[in-house]
Amino acid sequence: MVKNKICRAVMSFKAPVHIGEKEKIYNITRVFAHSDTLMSGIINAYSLLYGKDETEKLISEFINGTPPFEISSTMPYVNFQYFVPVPLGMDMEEYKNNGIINAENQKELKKIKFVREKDLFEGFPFKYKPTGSFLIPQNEFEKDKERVSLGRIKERARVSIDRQTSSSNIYYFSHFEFEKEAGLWFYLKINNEKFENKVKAAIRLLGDEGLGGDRTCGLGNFEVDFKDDVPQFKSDKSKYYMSLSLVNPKDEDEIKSVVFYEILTRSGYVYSKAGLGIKRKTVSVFGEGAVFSSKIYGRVVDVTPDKFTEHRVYCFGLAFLVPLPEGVMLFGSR
Amino acid sequence: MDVILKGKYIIKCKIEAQTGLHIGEGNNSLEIGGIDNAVVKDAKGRPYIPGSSLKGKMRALMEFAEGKVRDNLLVVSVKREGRPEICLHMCDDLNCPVCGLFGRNHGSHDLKSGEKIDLTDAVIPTRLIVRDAKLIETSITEEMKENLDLDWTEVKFENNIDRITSKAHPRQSERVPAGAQFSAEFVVNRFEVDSKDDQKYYLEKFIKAMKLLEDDYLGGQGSRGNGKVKFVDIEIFYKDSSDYEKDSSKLQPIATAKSLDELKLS
Repeated sequence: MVKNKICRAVMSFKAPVHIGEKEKIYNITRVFAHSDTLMSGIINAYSLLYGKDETEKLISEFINGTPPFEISSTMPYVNFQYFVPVPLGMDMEEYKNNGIINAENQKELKKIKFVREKDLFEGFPFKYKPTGSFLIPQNEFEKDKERVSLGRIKERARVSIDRQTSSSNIYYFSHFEFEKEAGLWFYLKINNEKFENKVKAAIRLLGDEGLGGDRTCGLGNFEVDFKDDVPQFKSDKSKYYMSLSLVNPKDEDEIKSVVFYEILTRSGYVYSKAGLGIKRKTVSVFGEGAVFSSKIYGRVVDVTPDKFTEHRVYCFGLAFLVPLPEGVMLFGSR
Repeated sequence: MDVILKGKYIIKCKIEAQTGLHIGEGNNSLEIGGIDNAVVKDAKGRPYIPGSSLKGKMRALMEFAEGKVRDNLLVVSVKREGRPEICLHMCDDLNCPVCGLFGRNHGSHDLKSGEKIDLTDAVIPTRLIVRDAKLIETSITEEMKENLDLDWTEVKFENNIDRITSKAHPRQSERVPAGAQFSAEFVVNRFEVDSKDDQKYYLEKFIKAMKLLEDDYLGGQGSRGNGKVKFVDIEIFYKDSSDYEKDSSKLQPIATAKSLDELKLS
């Protein structure tokens, strides 16, 4: 069997980004793009580069259960330190009691949403302190206190003006501005080398086209860098696995294997070259950080709306699993 | 319909404010003793030109220049109390230079003349992408800063005078000073739509839009002197779709010019 190649795609944003929260609401923005959003972006870029037929070939590989490549959701990096979501059900209190995390109160512990990738996979070798939603080593915290910031949300005023009467209509649009050395990254796993160059090309094109909303007005544009410095996941066998992407379980057994989870609802409009503003079907998925007791696969869900014949519409729900190291303290695992 | 990307024309240039530039932010930033009429600023407090301002203005100018401002060509975008409030041009003509370049909204729309129009079959990805233009900080010199009221901007006082009683109603307005430069980037996609190649058609139309903008104004209060801009140090690059399969390639410009008048496309 060919060894799967995993790399890290690091996106450095050259412009603010708007990732919609819900349809038709512009003044709220998300900061991270989920794996299904990212996947649609890549597939759309792919289709722009190689046309309809090639894209259909690519998609059929996903449907047939031989995905040529897999991705995780986007995750933050700050000062070139890569973060991953905290596994749901990780018992922070226990870490505090064991002297690993130095926090003043419960509230600080609750706020932790992201930990450094290497800390998680190496079993937290240092002493840590929460700063906002990030957990970073204590000694680094003292060095540059204020600089652990991903960026901030800003609202921009937009106006539409009548061509004949010049009367104006003002509305507001939120976007997220990243700090200089901060941005988003995701894992890219290539299963089929035949597609490697084309997929990377599509991701580069996506960078020029932009991710998220209001792309033609300058938002969402980024530069991507493919890096090989991913950690070697020590053993492929583990008691627990964490998903770094959204997962839509394939069958009953997969649902039964979930230990800790959060359910999200994914909805929205069809966006494709056919450009149709039709609402797609809604799907429920497990959010990032869900913990499973066995290896699961997930599935690509057909969300094509009724009466829509142009092409099929899919929601990417394959699991991007990473094994959790021995000794991760989860609730009830003591 | 099948759309394939042939390549991208990337136009990099500087936008120079030749008179004070006021792109308003709306009234959500009230501070005591602050300016009434602020300009847009990024998260670090530096003024910038939003891509949407540039794109919206260019679209409006193109609509006039291409003769598209007529009741039977305008669609209603905002209604107030059931009556059309904001109208702009959108159509299903696949060769329309305005819609082809600036994009269409999908779905069905009401025309100002009362009929309905369905654009579903005419929608293709928007060709033009306008990036936010960031302030080139060195263009506001130390000497200029001495005369500025705020970090990057000046405060202009304006006045209303009652014709009979001569009572004054002063107000203040924030402007980016003349001489400030912004680094701008535009992308014009070259598509092949159902095997019909765009070639340079939309690039040429876009340059026309740039010229129209130079003779108009950007931002607010333009009929009173604000907002005259000039495009300088223009460089046009062509990135072929095959370039994406290689790692970042060094691109050579296909045209360079000091100003739009000197610009010639090969």
